[in-house]
Order: sequence, then structure tokens, then C-alpha cells
Amino acid sequence: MSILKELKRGIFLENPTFRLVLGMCPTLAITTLAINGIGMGLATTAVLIGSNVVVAALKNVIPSQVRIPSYIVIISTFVTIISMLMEAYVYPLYEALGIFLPLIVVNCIILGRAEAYASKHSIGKSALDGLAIGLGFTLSLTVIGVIREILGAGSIFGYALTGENVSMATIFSLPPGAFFTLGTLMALINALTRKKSPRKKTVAAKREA
Amino acid sequence: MNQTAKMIVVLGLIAAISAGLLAGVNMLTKDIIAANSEKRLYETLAQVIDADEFIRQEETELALWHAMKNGEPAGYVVRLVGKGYSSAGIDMLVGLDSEASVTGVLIFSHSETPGLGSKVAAAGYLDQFVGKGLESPFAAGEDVDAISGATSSSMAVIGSVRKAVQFVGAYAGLVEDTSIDFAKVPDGVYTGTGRGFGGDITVNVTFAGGKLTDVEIVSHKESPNVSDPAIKQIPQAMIDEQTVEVDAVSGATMSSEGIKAAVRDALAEFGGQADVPIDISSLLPGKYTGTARGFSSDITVEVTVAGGKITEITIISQDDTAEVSGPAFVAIIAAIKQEQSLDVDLVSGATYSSEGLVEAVKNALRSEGVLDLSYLPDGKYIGEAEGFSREPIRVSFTMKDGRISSVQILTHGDTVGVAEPAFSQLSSAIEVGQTLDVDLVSGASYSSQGMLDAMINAIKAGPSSGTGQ
Repeated sequence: MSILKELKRGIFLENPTFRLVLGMCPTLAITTLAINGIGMGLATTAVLIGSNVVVAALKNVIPSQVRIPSYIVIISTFVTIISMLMEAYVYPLYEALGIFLPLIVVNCIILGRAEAYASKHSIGKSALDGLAIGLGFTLSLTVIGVIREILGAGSIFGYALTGENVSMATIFSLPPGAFFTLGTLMALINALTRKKSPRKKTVAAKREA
Repeated sequence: MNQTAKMIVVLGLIAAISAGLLAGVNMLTKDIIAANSEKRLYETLAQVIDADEFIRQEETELALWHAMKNGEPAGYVVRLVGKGYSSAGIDMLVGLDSEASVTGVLIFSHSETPGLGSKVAAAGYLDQFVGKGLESPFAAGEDVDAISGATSSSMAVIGSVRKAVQFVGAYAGLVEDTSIDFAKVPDGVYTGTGRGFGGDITVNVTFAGGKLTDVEIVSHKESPNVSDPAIKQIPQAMIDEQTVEVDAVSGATMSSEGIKAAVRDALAEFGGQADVPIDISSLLPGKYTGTARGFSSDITVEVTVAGGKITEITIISQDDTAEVSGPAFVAIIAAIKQEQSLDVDLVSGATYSSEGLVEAVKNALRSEGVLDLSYLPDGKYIGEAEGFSREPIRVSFTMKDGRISSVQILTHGDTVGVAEPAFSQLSSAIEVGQTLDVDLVSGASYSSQGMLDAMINAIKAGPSSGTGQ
């Protein structure tokens, strides 16, 4: 039960992209293809789980004055390991993620989870949090990637959906398309969740009053 | 204190463990990564030639790989960067078989204008080069096509392929090195010097019956023993092979190159690096910059030319011993300006510095230079040059008090819709900037270049009438 609850929290309630609005730089930059979204999401998830576990394990050892440098060293170690493994075993993905792979180091999701969650919870819970938040990130990136790939390149996960002579809205493969997609999705999610949440109503009511 | 110590120890430990982990993963993956990167390079190279093994050749003028198929030599791959419309250049691979015929062309990267210049990167365009070789003229419109609206980019690609073919032709020994034609050297003894490891090497080169019969080293300052093999073998190799371009002797490379330079110097009047005389009176007004080696460093000069005369020589940078070179420079500059000739006496005691200065001035005047319109005499100028079509572009403009105005196209035969916007764009750029150093118009590069050429020709021709026109 609690696992499901955690996953639900990470994927929906505290979705890092649409709810917390963290890690926007990779979100906007690499989601030109659905596969890039999955790759970047999974790489971030791996780093997130690793760093959350280590931070949770060391939470009583690390003096609070040096916690940020410690977290950064831990995170960058995981990122470098992941990037070396990817370069060795899944090169096309490594090439597609490009500069954004080393930039996972400064992805605020990871430091944010280390600081806000892992430093206060047990190893198991932190690992689960890493998995949940990571999957939320992966799912968001993949959804954006699928939309941009279909509209921009006329394919999905590399399989062509249209004939060769159909020209697609290339702008969706370019940076503006990332903003269009992200903005529309975020508006859609906000609109859908607002109706269900009575809390919003009270806020709105208060504001009126 | 205790707290501080704990901070240091914990952070240090975390860093140390991280470093250990990284070292471990690096050892695990570095061979795979290196193998992958080699494999990718080979895959790219294999796109331009049918081969399965590539051997990088060291110290060639262009990046060159020997291509092997099943252990047998299959040809070559050359990587080179051509200058297209954009300053970034067109980075390409050219595959060639052992007869220097093109087997494939691939563009690695380019920054040409999307939609215009970028068309040259399409496979359909590059395929036209396959099968072309040393006997092909690589002339646009004859054996190869240029893409209209992307002429500069096309020319860069064509030029690069031609260069790759000629380079491999020379490398594989398919074409003779014609830099110095021995058959044209009259019988006699010629003396020349070249710089070796320790100093100047002077040689006497003897020709008899249209053949190089002797290379005698008259004097040298090379290290004893070390340079002996070069001094013995290089002249003999030149006589045996009847060429200056023989392989340097390993361990005595500088001495070998010095001897070769000396022989080239001796035979300079018969080709190779012969001095092309500079006609000062035909130079366009403007500033020219050039560099040459002085006594201890490079000398860079800026030469101002106005009215077919050298009016100013400024030394921009030099490190030669000031007390020795300073007076020499002043004397040389004064002599060049007075005699309007580069054949001036060198200043004894500062030979290298004065020689360097004269060379720098020569190099400057051989370079393209920045045209300075303000030196042009007043008047109306008319000139013509070929643009995109066969019909010449005729241009006129007016100079008054060093300012250019009324730049007009009188007649032209280029595509009206393409060329005319370019002409008016250039005219205003020239009048605003008061310079001919303006950017060509993308998509109409040939018309733009034609217009600028026509203006240069007009300047060369001089003003046709006074300003009263």
C-alpha cells in the first residue's frame, strides 16, 4: 500500500516537472524524441536513487555545515559513473543526451530530494522516493517527447507514422515547440486537477472575499 | 575545533571514496569506450570507401587514412575543411581508390545557410563526384555541377574534392612533383643557402646535360656526427632520384631540410619558390599587412599604398634587438620609400633584421590588403567584371574628397530578381561603410562578387573624368 502511495505521490501529486516545476533545462532541451525522454528520465532516476540512498545512509555522519558540498560530490560521482557506463554500453543515447548528462549534477530535482527528503528519512523510504520522483520525471519527459516527436518529426519512438512527403510542424522539434508543449500540458493538468480539488475553491473564495 | 575536524574528515572521506569508485568504473569502461570510438570512426570512413580497416597516417599535410579491404590496400580517405560561404568551413571526408579516383564524399559538418548552401550536403549532389579522378578538371558547368543560389558552397565542395584528389595523387606518387623542372635548368653551377639546425648551409649545385650531377656542401654549421648521415645521403639521394624532394634522414631532419632548402634556393629562378616581382605602381590604394622572420622573432609590418606609391611603412610588432635593428629599420624604410623599390641595400650588422623587414613588406604587398577608398583621387570611376552570367556587370561610382558615393549598376545580365536586390544592398553597404570590405549577399554570391570585382577594376582603371561630371 505504502509503496503505491509513494509512487502515486512521486508521479502525480509531486510530479517534478508539472507540479514542482524542477529540472526545466533538460526537460525543454532533450525532449525532441520520445526515446530521449525515457533515456534522460531513467538516467536521472538511477542517479536519484543512488544519491538518495547514500545521502540517507550518511545523514547522521555528514555535519550539517558541509552537507551541500557532500551532496554535490555524491551526486556528481553517480552522474559520472552513469555517463561512463552509458558511453560504453548505450552510445547513441549518450550522444543524444549530450551536454545534459553531465548537467544532471546540477539538476535541482536531485539536490532538492537529497536536501528535502533523503536527509530526513530512512534508506528504504529515500530509495522509494528516488524511484517515485524519478519515474514521475521519466513519465513527464516521455509524454512531452512523444507529443513533440509526433508533431515535429511525424514518428513515434523512431517509427515513422507518416509518408516521406508529409512535412510536419518542424517547430515542435525546435526549442519553441518545447515551450508550447510544456505550457499546454501544464495548463491542461492544472485545469483538470483544479476541478477535483476543493481546496482550490476555498482559496479562490477567500481571494474573492 | 572538533567540529571542524569532523567536517574535514567526512568531506575528505566522501571525496576519496568517490575518487576510488570513479577510478574503478573508468578502468572497467575505458577500453570499451576507446574501441567504440574507433569503430564509429571506421564506420564513418567506410561510408566513403568500401574497406574494413583504416590506418591513420602521421604527419601528412591533410588528415589521411590508408584504407584496407581484407588486408589488401583499397585506397585512401582524406579529411579536409573547405571554405564555403560561412566562415566555419565545410568539414568533409573524401574516399579515393588507389588511382586517386573518388569513391565517395561525405560532409561531416557545415554551417552554410540552411535552405541554400546546405543543399550541397545532400547525397544526390555529392554522388556526382564518384568516379572522378586526376584527369577530371573539376570545373563547374563542365564535369561537375554547382547548385544555383549556393555557388560559394558548391565551389568549396568542388575545390575540396579536387584538392583531395591532387593530394592523394601526389602522395601515392601518381603525379610527378613539378615544383622544379630539372630539364629546364641550363648546365652550370648554382649556389644557394638554406637554414639547417646550426645555421646556414651553403651548397653548390651542378647541372650537366639537363641532369643534376652534383650537390656540394660548401659550408655548414651542423653538429658533427649527428648531421653526417644527412650531409652524405641527401645530395646522393637527390642525384639518384633527380628531385629535390627526397626523404629526410631520420635523426638529422633539420639538416636534411636545410640542405633541401639550400638546393631549392639555388634553383629558385627555375620554379618552386621563385620571387615574383612586385609592381608597386599597379597596387591598389590601401593598407597591406605582412609578416616575415627577422633575427630573433617575426616582424609584422603595415604598408600604406596611395597613388601607386608606398607612402608609409609601420612596424606593428617585432622583438629583434632594438639597438641593432632600430636604426636598420629606419634606414630600410626610408630607402624603400625613396626608391619605391624593394630591391634596397641591406644594413650590414643587422642583415637578418633588414632582410626580415624587406620580406615582411614583400609579403604584405603580395597579400590581399584592405582597400582604403579615401586615398582614391576625385572623379568618376567605371569598371566591369563578370558576375553570374556571361554578360559583364558594369558599375560606376564617384569619389569626392575621399568619400565614395553614387554607386550604380549601369548594366548587368544576371537574374534580375536575385541580383538587383543584392546590388542595392551592397551599394548602400559600401556607401555607409565607405569600404569595399562588405559581406556578399547569400544566394547571390556570384553577382555580389562580380559587382565588387567590377569596382576593383574601376579603381585600377582610375578616374575617367573630373568631378565636374
